[in-house]
Amino acid sequence: MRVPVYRSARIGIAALSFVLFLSATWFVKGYEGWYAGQIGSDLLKIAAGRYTLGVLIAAAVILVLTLLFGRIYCSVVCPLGILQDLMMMFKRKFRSQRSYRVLRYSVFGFVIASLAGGFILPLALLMPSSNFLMVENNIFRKVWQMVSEQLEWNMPNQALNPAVSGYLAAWGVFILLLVLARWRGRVYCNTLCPVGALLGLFARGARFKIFMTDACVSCGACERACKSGCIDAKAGTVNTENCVMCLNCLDKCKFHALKFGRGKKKVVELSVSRRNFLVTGGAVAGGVATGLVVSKFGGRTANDKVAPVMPPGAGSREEFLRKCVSCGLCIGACKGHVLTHSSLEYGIGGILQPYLNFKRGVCEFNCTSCMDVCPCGALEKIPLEEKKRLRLGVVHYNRSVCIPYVDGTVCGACSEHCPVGALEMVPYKATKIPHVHTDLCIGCGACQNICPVTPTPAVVVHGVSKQFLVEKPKQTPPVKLKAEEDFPF
Amino acid sequence: MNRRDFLKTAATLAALGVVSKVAGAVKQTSAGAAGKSGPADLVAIRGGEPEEMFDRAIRELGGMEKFVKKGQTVLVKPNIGWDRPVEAAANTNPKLVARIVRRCKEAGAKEVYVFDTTCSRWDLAYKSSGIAEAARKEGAIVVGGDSASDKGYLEKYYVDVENPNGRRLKKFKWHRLVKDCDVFINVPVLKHHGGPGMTSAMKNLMGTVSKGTQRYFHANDLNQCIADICAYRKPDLNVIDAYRVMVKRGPRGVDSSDVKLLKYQLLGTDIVALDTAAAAVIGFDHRRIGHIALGEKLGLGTRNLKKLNIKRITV
Repeated sequence: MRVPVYRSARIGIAALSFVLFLSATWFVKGYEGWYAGQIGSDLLKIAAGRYTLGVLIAAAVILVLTLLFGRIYCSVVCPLGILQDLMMMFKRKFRSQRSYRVLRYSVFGFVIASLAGGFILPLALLMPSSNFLMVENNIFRKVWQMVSEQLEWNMPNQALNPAVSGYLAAWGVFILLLVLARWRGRVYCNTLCPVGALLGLFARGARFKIFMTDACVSCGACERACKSGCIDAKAGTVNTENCVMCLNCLDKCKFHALKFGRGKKKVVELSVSRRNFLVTGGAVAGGVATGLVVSKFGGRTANDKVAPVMPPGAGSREEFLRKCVSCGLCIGACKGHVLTHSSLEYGIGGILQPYLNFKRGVCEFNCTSCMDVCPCGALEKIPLEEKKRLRLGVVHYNRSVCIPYVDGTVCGACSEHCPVGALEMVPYKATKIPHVHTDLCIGCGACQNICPVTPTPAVVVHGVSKQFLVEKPKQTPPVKLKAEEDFPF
Repeated sequence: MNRRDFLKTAATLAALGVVSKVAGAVKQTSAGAAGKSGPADLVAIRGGEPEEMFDRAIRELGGMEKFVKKGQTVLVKPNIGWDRPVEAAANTNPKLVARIVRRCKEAGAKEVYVFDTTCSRWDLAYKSSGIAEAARKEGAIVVGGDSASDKGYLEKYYVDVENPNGRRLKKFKWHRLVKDCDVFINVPVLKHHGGPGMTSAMKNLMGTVSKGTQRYFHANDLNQCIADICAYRKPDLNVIDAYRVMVKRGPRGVDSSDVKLLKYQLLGTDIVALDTAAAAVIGFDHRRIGHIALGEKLGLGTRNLKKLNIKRITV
């Protein structure tokens, strides 16, 4: 048997990039910038107008590589692709696949159209750069945490308690992938994945690709080895649009009929029947309609009383709901462990999009992690000094349950934790109760998180629909102390 | 006894008398109006850097060897509550903590632990306070302390204890280190506090319980609970850091206008007396700070500073 050189090389590079991806998004902090390697979120970031030079270069490199070599990205960079390869380990034979092209472009059209209409959830669930991270955060990290706790390894900062919505979405994606991968190989990548559809368009005319020479005897060995279903042994064609360049077929051919190089043979022509055109067109129209309907009626109205608190840098509610793809990179990076996937807090239009849950933690004052890592441009990078004055929400004080007011004892936990001095303890009978300086409050939730009143704290932060900068905390006059002169006792 | 010997003895005795008289005079001034003799109950020192003040003051108390014996495990419990820089004075001065760790090691301590149940996330507070780094450099074992945000990892170190001496705090979750250590050194920082008025030696012990117990404190008469926790295990030594003092908007502080450079340090074993003195330093009336009186009621010490032998030193 020949040594499968191509295949081994592909697996080696894929393993390396998978480990790097997991490191950057999980156990090695501060390397989230490597996420720029994900073309899906890069394009969203560019569309959002919040790109950096690195993101532009990364996107350009990936597209040019695809133009040159086909969809190598899908085999060696995309973590979801590599995950599927892991799932189909030891599966040697793949049944021949039909061409799912109509389905694929219909799904692609629907997803993009609904995004344009203002509903981002279909894209969030299908795009590898977001749904893989959901799987990683909500399944891998949770399982790892449980294991490390059971075995008493002392691993700080591993906890990432999944929200119900994130947990369900992640398991949904994971099980779907497992079923599809065991059934027909990379069928997800060639039907549901919007990035796969996009890169497929670029890969159609790939300069270097796998092609069949005349040595082919149409035995079908390569076709059975192909997990993308892109080889037609009878016709002697390789569909570069579907091929993910796993290179498994090269070593399978006894007659060396498959080659990797500059092939000119038989590009599968793009024939569009009227029926297919109508189906895809219908999907696009449906997507636009869904997007418009959901964005118009599915979102919560801008009522501050019930509004969830958006992560810093989100800007306005409308903007955030359109831009955030719910990948959860910010959730994994959040130092206060306060960010989590939402369920229906933002309404149907914003399912899964992150919000601040003050039961879990607080928005740490000296931290800009979420804005630093956001890969899709939903969060604007705001410098730390400005972020310290950025209003995410505003506190509402309910005196009737407040412990000092009710019991007459001393508490002051909220005032203690307020980083901007918005809660001042003022005398009340024999004790002190908080007085809210609304103009200073930034809505970080430190007070709500620490308030000992259960189940609803006496101080509750409601989100604002548009974030803005509040007043700087006032300097207070200096105090003169007797102790400065000599011992006061 | 011949004449020669007699003269010798007489001269020696005379010399001794002079020396003791001079020494007595020195002590007289330093002990203040009360004029008590013997080792100091409480040492107050001002005007120097944290390390030098500690070294001088601990000598007055009889040296570190009096508190730490060879082979013992020591817990140094500073206030590392907040993710704030050293200058903000929200946490104990790292130089002081480091020096205490060094002296414990020199006295022969087997292990010196440093920990606090923090208010901000523990990893952030440990880092920005500078304490983790400074203490590690001196060979201390720095233990993370925050049962809320690192559940699973840290929560298991907090164990259930019963407190028969307490009025409101009958049962609580306590950090295993405080329970198991031989010597417990309390190193608070003196600050204004929005809740009980002032945080110092007594309030600092609130950082030895779990986050859940801290919530219980706030919900069930904070002042009484603070006194109760001090009744469970009194620290063997208290070192109050009042080098930089947050005089208002504490305990977190908002900006530099809240901090005053006072350069004080108070040492002693009587936790109530120390807090009474600390209240005077920060300019508060100790009668307005509920837990000090409650602590006296529980028999933890005295608020009457006149009864004590206080050593006042200006560097």
